Amino acid sequence: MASETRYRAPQTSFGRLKRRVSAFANDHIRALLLGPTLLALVIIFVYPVAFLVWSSLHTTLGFGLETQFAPTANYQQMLSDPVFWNAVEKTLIYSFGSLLLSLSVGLVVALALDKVVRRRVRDVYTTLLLLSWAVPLSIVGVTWRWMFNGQLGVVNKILLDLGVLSSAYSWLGNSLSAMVIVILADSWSRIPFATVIMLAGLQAIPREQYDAAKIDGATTFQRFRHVTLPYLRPSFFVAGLITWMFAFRAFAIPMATTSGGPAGATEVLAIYIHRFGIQLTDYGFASAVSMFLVAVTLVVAAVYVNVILVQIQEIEA
Amino acid sequence: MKRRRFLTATAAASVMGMTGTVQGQQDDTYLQAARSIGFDQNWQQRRIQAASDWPMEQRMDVPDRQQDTTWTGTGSFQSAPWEPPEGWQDTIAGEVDSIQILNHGAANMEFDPATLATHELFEEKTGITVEPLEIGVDQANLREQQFLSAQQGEPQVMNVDGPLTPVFVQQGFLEVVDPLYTSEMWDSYIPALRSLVEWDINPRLEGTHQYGFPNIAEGTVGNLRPDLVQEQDIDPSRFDGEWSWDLLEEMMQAFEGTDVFGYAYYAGNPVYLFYSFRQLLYQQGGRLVAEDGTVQVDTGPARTVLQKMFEWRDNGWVPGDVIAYGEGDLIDLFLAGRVAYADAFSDFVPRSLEQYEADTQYRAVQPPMANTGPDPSQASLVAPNCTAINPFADAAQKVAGLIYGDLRLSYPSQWWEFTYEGNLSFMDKVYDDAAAGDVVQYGDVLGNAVDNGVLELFPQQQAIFQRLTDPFQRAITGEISAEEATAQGQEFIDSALNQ
Repeated sequence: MASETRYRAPQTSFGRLKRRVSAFANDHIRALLLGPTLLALVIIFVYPVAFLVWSSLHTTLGFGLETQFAPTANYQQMLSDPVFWNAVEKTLIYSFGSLLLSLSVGLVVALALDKVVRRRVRDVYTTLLLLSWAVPLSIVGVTWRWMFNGQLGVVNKILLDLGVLSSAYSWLGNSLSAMVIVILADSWSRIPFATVIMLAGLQAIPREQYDAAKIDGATTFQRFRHVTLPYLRPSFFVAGLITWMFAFRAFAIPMATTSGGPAGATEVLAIYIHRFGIQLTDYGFASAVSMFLVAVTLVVAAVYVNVILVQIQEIEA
Repeated sequence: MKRRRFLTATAAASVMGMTGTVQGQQDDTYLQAARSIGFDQNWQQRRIQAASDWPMEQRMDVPDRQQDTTWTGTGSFQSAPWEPPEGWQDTIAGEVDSIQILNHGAANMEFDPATLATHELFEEKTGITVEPLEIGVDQANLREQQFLSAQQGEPQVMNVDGPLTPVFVQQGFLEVVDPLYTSEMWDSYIPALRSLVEWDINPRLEGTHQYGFPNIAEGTVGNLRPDLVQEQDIDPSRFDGEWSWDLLEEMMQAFEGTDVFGYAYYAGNPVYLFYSFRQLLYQQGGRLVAEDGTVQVDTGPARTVLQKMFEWRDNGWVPGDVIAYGEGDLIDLFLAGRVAYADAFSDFVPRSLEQYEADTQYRAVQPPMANTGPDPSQASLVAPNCTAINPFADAAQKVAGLIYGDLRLSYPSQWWEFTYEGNLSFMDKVYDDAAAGDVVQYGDVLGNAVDNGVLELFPQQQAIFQRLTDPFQRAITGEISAEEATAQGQEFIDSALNQ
């Protein structure tokens, strides 16, 4: 009895309130813990996506402040616009170009780093490599723009001094070279990420596998082909998926380097959306194109994730 | 239930009707008060002639931009010859204590000193306090659309971005300011002022009306490196006064094989491509807006511009990179000594003079006239903003806004804009006086350039320029012909403007 009396809350109104709050917290502990996170998700994800869908179903009038419900108008306009299809084509070239370059160079660099025996030296190399990843993408774009400036750029200066060029070449004024340059700039900024992921994958490969292959007489290439690559496949796919998804939605680098030019040669979908959404305040149309961008990204992501899961199961088996 | 719905609808209709009536009464009260002031009487003496007796030494007693924060203690401010029209205090404006003015950016000594001077002079002469609402131009465009759509009465006066002016007029978002102007007044101002403020596209009003008064203006001027052209055996004096594309092309050819270009233009993004395109169009006497009010790009002069831009680039007479040039690129090239002649907005003149020696290394000149086209002239491009009155504001404050407009149209305000801040003046006399007093270097050239400045604004201008960029850039790079580009552009314009 005495202990019951000792632990009972005082019979004041504050005490009663405290007991009620405590009982409510005990009964709703999940909701209390998850609530803020869910609320944050609703505010920063669900609401914007829902607004994007709503917006894509409305045509925009007068600076985006008035709208009219027209569920198919924006999508029809999008699909019938040849400039949109040009932007889709450029986005695919840009994203797969960047993916190919960053993965292949990333793999080579990861293999080289994996061969560095002293861990401290390897860490120094990795840190230095990550510096280019830390540079803001818009700065990367501006830097490459200046490097390849036809009149004042350092690339032309070097090539002219070496006698490779007889006159300044307009790198950003030519459709093909402009696309190559934005792909190079994009992959330059993504190589460190691919390298780090693949280096982690390489270090997770059991050394016994290499030893066994060596005893069986496998050459270096055969060890790479039959041991390294199969084990590296999940890392490859993770790095590939993330790199491609970012490149597919890229805006900062192509915008800062070429602004989508010359003559739409590097106008990727994100720049196309910016043109309509921000510069022309046609939010409805820009939202419809954004929906397309999101849908493609989600479909590809779903396929990729499925493939990765199958591959992990294969390795585990 | 039906009865309740009926009552609700009736009440709503009554409120809307009353609002409309109140707005109509406000309009009548405003215009009656505005007309009773008589802005158009004695305007010449009050706004312009009074400045003839403004001594130069007093005008030049201006604040130190680095240290001072106000104009009120300076001789220039204290002697400024402007008085509001007589009798204004007997109207409803006499009861106004303050007006709020939306300014594009901070109206202070560091960023917008001439506007600060105008605000302070207005307060001094009328006793009405100016409450500046400072918003950058990009944000201001959207904010203005928001508060005007909501029929909000504040701010009562606002700066309006030039290309937005017809858009706002079409939506009934700008108050008529007809009492400020008379037909003979236009001769005292640059032609661009009339193109900026006079419209007949307000669906609520018949006929032509004025919808604003000056804010700031920029205009293009030619920038020449006499030392570089001299090196190519071209006499720099040939660029003084009248000259044409013949000399421009001769200069371009002369620089072939060197690491300097004779000329360069912008073609990198919609804004800058259409600066260069329009200037070359106007130099032939071409126009985008036809006499019947339709917008036309499938014309001979427009095709000539694209053809010339293509040929000059294809010949290597301009850098191949022009197709990627946007803000800053051409300026950087000029300041790096890699181009001998470039058109740029007038605020580039003082920047060039910081780097180059006047006359021997740098000279501001009038742009060339075309060697083809219906009416070649040494046209330049003017890009002004206007200041306008919020139609939903209180009638008394709208009248106070008109008095502010009168000051904006006056000599002291325009003098400070040109001589102190480096903006262009809307008033011709300012250029003459500045040149006579040698107050602004190349002031006469700037005056001539702006006098030949062309301004064309039309609804959906930015959207149209955006869509025209793609075919026009393709024509400049030679992917399609000029004819195809202008035909594609015209097709879009016709559908967008329903013309």
